[in-house]
Amino acid sequence: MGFDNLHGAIPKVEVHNIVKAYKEKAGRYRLQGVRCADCGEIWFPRRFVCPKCGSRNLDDYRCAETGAVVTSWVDTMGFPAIGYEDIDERVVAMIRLDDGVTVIAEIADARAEVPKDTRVEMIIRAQKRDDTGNLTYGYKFKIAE
Amino acid sequence: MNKVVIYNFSITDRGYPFDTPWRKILVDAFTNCLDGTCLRAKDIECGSVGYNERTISEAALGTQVADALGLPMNCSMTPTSHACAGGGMAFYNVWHYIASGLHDVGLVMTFQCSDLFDMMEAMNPIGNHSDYDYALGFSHMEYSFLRDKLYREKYGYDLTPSATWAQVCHRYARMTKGSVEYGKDMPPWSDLCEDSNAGERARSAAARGSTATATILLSERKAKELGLADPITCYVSYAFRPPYYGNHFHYAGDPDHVAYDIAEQPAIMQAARDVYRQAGITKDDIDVVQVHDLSGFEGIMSIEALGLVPIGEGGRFVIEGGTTLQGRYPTCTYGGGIAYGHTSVGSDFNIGLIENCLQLQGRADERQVQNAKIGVCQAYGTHHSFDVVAVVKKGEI
Repeated sequence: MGFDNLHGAIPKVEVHNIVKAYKEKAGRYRLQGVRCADCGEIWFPRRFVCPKCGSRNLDDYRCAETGAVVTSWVDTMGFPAIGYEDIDERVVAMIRLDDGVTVIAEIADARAEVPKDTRVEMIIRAQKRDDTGNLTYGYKFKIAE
Repeated sequence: MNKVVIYNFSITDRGYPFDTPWRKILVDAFTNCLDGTCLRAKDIECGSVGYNERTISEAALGTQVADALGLPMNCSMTPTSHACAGGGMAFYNVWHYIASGLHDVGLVMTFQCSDLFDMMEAMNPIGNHSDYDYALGFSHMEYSFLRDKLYREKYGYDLTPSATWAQVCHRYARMTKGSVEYGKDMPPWSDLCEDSNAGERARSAAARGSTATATILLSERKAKELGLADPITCYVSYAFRPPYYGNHFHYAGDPDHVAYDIAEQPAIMQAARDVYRQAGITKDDIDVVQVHDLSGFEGIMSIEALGLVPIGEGGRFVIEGGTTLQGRYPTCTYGGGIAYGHTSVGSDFNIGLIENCLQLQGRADERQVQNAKIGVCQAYGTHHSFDVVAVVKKGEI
């Protein structure tokens, strides 16, 4: 079966996501990870033990909200991710934040590939529908003015 | 550690009807594997079954598999759900059961069954089931496109290496009777080079369907007792990296990871180093290679990470014919993902492992690599969150 035949078979919402999304809301809303108080390494998403030094002495850390695009791609595969039924085409990018953390995120309002090194800043936007049909929110990025 | 020997193996034919239950597919693979051996089901002492929890929802799957196959009541059958390379982890489990000396006869089962959920398949609308990628709506496809694009940008390629990889695999696939491409015409070169969704599908493991494999492993002692002629010994290793793909390379816990991002595969590098050491080989000893190539660039990154070519040079190696039967490292000689699709969810690793065994036994028909004595096989799960690498050697005991 080819990809093109699958569109109608894809569920419109994601299952069992609400609690998971709630538990990680600080990361999704504020790019909040952790910084190891012993070795200084930054981790995003958050960890509960430092993979570098093994310490559990981790402090909340808000990642930089600005950064630069490493690479981007216009998602035109013809089927949305689950919960994205009303957003069938979007620009996804690898972004290196100013503190060295790397995230993969959507570039809001973009319609074409965003050139490498374009400056971007974090914003909060509606992302997808959970299994109640409600929208969940989280970080995206926009091209910095 | 005891040496571990591959006794026999089988792959089911493609093309099961959609309503075929998974037990039937597993039984087909197992009974075909037993045929030609002097073993019965009751001789199996231990086993492991690779599957994907996204497609198989039965609880205590190991017990259900052992029951379905008619294994002895005291035969442990460990289920291992490690996404696309679950079969690799099942092989890893059974290899260790035997290498440790606890058991003499072990069974590796892997399968993919096209149940309702699998019509969509994990590759398409669903991302990694980590708290972030998945929750943010990122799919495997988005990851792989970003990764391939970054590789091209870093190392200066257009689509030609991926198209060449696909063309070579399409040729191999037409020499492999179990392949979905067997008997079909070759796709035109222009189709393979097309910069479009259709072109990407032509270059990728786009087929789906039900497949199972079975592999019987023996201890060296048991192999000698059975008087195996020209046995194949095997070695396996594993490595992982953080499953959150945006953060893969921000992993200072292992210095080997720091220098790389998603365009390189440090978990393969680590597993390959380990398994080459176990087997007492170097890259120069390798005759035939199977890698997990859901896209051409993914296969290219894998042969780089296996150390066969320098990082960033894999594309040029492929364009120059390095993966063909006449090349230095004939790769994915059964046709790779193009031949069997993303059998995933169990069997991707094991089909490559079995192809290497056929090559070492001289049973690979027109795709035979002459005098093949050592093969390497790799597969990954959850977009290279982990990799399994195995080496097979001919006639070592």
